[in-house]
Amino acid sequence: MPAGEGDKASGLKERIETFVDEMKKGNSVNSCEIAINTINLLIRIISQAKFTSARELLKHVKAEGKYLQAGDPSENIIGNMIRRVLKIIREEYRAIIAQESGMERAVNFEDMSLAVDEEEDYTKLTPSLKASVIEAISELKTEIEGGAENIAAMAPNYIHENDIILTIGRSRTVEAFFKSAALKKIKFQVLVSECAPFCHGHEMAKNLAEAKINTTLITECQLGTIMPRVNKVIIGTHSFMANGGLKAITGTNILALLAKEHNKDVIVCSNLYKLSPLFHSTMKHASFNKFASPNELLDYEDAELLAKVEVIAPIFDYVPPDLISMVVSNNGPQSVSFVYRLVKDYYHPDDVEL
Amino acid sequence: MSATPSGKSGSKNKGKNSKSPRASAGDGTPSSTKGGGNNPEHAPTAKKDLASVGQSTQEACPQSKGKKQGEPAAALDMGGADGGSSADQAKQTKVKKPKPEAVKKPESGDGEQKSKAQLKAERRALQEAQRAAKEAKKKEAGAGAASGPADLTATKKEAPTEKPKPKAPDSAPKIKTKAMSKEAPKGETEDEMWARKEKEILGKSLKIDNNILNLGFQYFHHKIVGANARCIAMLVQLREVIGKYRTPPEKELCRDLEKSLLAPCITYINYCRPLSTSMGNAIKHLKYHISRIPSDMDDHKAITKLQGVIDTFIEDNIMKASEGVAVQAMTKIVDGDVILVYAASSLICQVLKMAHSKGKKFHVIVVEGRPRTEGKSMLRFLVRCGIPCSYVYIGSATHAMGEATKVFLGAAAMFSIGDMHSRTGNSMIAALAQSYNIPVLVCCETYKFTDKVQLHLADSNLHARGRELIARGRHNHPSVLLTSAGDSSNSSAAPAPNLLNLMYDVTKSRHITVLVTELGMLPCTSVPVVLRRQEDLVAEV
Amino acid sequence: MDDEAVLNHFNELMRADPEMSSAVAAITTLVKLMESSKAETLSGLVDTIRKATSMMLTTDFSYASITSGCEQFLRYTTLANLQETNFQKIMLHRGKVFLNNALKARAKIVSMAQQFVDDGTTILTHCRSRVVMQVLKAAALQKKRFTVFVTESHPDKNGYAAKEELSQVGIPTTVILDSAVGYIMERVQMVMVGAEGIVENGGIINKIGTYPLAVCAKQMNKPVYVVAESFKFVRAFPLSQRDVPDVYKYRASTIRAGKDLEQEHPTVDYTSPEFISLMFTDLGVLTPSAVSDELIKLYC
Repeated sequence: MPAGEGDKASGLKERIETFVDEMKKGNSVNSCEIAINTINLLIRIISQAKFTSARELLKHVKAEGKYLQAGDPSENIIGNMIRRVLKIIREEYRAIIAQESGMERAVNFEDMSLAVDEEEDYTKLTPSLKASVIEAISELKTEIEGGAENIAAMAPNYIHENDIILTIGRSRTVEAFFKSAALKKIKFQVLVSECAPFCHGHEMAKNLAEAKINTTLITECQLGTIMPRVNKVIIGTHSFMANGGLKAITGTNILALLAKEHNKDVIVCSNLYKLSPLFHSTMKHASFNKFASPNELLDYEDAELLAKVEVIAPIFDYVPPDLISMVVSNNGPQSVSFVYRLVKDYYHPDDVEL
Repeated sequence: MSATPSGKSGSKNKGKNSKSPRASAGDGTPSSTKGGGNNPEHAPTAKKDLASVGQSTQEACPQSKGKKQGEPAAALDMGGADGGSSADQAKQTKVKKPKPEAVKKPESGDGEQKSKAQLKAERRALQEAQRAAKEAKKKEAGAGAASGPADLTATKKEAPTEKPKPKAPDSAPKIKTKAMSKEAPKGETEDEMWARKEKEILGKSLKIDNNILNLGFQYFHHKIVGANARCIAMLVQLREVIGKYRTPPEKELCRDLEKSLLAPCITYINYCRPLSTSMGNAIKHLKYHISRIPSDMDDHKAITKLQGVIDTFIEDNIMKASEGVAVQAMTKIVDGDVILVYAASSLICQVLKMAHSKGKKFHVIVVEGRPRTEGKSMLRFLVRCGIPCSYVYIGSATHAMGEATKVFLGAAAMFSIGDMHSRTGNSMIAALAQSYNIPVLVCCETYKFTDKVQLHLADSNLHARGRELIARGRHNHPSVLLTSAGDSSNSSAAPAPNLLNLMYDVTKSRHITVLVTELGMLPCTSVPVVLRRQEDLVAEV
Repeated sequence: MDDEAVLNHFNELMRADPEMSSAVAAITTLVKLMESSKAETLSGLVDTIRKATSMMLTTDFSYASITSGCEQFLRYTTLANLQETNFQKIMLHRGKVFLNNALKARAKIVSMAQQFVDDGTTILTHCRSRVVMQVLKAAALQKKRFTVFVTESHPDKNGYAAKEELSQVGIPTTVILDSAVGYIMERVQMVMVGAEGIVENGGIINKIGTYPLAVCAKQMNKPVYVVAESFKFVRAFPLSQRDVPDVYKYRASTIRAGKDLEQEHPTVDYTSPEFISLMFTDLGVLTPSAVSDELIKLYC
């Protein structure tokens, strides 16, 4: 038996290493997969963890989580998932304690009051914690997996006949959103901004065109020209900041700014696992952005230029919340100014700093 | 003047550049460099491949070498600064010129061996083309110069017997994306439209002066880009053509020159690519002077006079004016500035170069817009001047905006309500700059001012091909659409997205802080004032 | 404790520790009062607290802060299952918990808000807010280099005190005229102000001059951060400057003297939430809309 456990432990270690390596290389797949992979790892970590109290478990998960996050500090989704799991552990612990002491949690005045959070030390023995935590995490996983469908199902509420919709780059959520509207026989037109230098928009345009949606591909520099003719802007995002700002593919900020300039609504389709409890008020925060190779912009043939020119090729933009009209999440439409509340629901303040 | 940097560097860099994908892209079929001069039939084909501003101007001015040498050089420089492709082409010429053995036998193209049927088809195509051009002109506000009647005459003269084919898809004035959709039964795809247009342009080879044919083809393939470069190239060629003109008996020069020579040329040029405001204004200027030639003046004198008019226009309204703008704009550059520029503009190049040569220390951020990637040629120019530069795509311009202290934009035209007409993307940069509270300085010579007004531009894909979106740049990651959308003829293929490639946009005057002209720094609201002044000046003369 | 003693205690606290918020001093006083109170009934105790509150409001310290702190205190202490037999004990306990939280609030805010001070930024602040000072000092302790502009802030010219204080910890600080806010705005990256009171919609009541500062910042797209403890949340909803009650706007002594208020300078103005980017409170970093959320939880 002990030998088997050792195998398991080394197996887990290997998996973690592979995951971190993949993140480091940056050949990450889509965000949903990152979320699911993180959760799967966390489930394994928890199921193999030896702990006597919730406190120890929290500490263990935090430590492992920190390591996972270090693979790519700018990938907020990993951090989000770790924090969600930490919150689940805390909640499950409290539920178990409450059940044991027979108290009803609902009428807890402490909860309702302002400015008060009682200190919880999470040291009580709770043998059933592991099972219930893993169950709750599995639920979270199911929720994430079904998120895109939930969002897509809402498409007919926001896409109407003869709409001209602008989007940027490629977002699987948005793609599903459009396709869902197209399935409902709504006739609308989509303009896809190609999102240079990565040009994910080409793939998006191709996929949409194949789904028989009237699609036109444009470059970023035409956004300003095209904006007056657009009805609304529907975009995806990489993640959400706690103030409602977006961390989205580069080009989104200028797009949102122009939409604001022309009074067009900017609708963000995003699953709530992308909601991060972190704040990035400026783009300068070290962990906010990633930078692509200058080769994306200048060919190596232009060596003369490469040597002398500073090439700026950020991957993400920060989009301030005041440029966004609404968020279509898997929990329904949300206002950006309400995001602070969702952050509170999903994350424990003590976990923000991993 | 500033011809040296681009020219010199061109030769310095020849090996590298001939390897660069874009240079070779325009060079699909290597063919004659000299064909254009003697062989009217080959001209377009030859030009298509090897046309360059430098070359064409050199051909253009063989008689008047001494004084005029400044102009071709200037034109070359403009081209080099204004557009990537023309810069590349100019370099190529330089590379090729010393080795005439590189000249290959001209392609036996559409021009040379034509059967009767082909000729007939061509004529039909030509006629269609003119019809289309006429319609295009109606849409194209910048092209106020070419007049309707002249057009009609041309049509009548060149295709007197044939009736217009009613079913011909009149595609030129296609409006926006909807018009381009493939579902429309009668509509042709955009690719087909461009192919047809090219054929039609080739078909005109018999009728129009060779130099102009070359020029049109260069415009068509965007070998000459940029308002100044296009205008100068056209004027130099027109000067040449006018030099060959002799008034037919029983006609007056002041009438006939415009009608029988100028009008068809301009119609043709406009069909190749809609005239820019700069060209339109130059033509207007020229026409005005033609109309004022006394009917009793002899040909030689009149022609010399008109050539003088063209020379002074280039000299005063373009060259000196841009220098004046540079002097003005330079005063607003101070040490430590970070200046953001978008795509390429010959004028901005000049401003920055002058400021640099005056010892000002500043950094330039070049913002690039796909698919034309003209910023790269700008970047090359600035780097060679020794100015420290950054390079960023327009989508990420937000990141650069935080550091920028000033934004310099070049205009293709200024509308009389103060809005700026320029390369697409400028309006975004201006709006972005405003949200960052960064002053936006628009540099523009007053000859580009126009009393026309367009609010939102709908010039559709008249100027540029949609396919550029997927065909150009991104050599290391070819677009996924290249394979899928490649065969538009293949109806069984999955539906492909439309491609929209607008060339111009309009920047609202509220986003422009100051308009720098050779007359000084003006608020945008002063455009009509300047226009009125120009009118008054003309009236006085 | 009689009224006199309450007032004395309060004034004494404010004098002893000038860094203490008037609201905290008021709450401390109320806890003290409860400890010594001999009230037999719940309503008697509540009345005593109310009376003490109104006594403290007669001082010239910030009306907004004292009223919000005391109201919240009363609400919080009574928001429990109180019986006639044990109400004193429970209320005192809850009062102490509340006081404890109020005392800890500032440290919490400081640790949170200082992360928003980036290296190399230029910050504009108004007057001298105690908590803003602490945030800046904490950021300086983190070896962040930044520059501060502070308005001199008429009529009390507290800006000079702020400059003095910040210069001592090595932060390059410049005092600017109140009227130079527009001039300086293009050079700053963010505006950070304190608040005397935060009203229902997330707007703030703060030292006169905050409103033009925020309007200017909004016009130039600079973020405005408000740093304030949650005990400053007050159930009021001003619609305009005129709508802010006089008791907030003028010193108690001025009102008592019966002067013509039209001729007097108001001490505070109201800044509506659209000018505010974020709020750093002990409840976390909030958008202005979160204020209503918290107030609803407490009062409804």
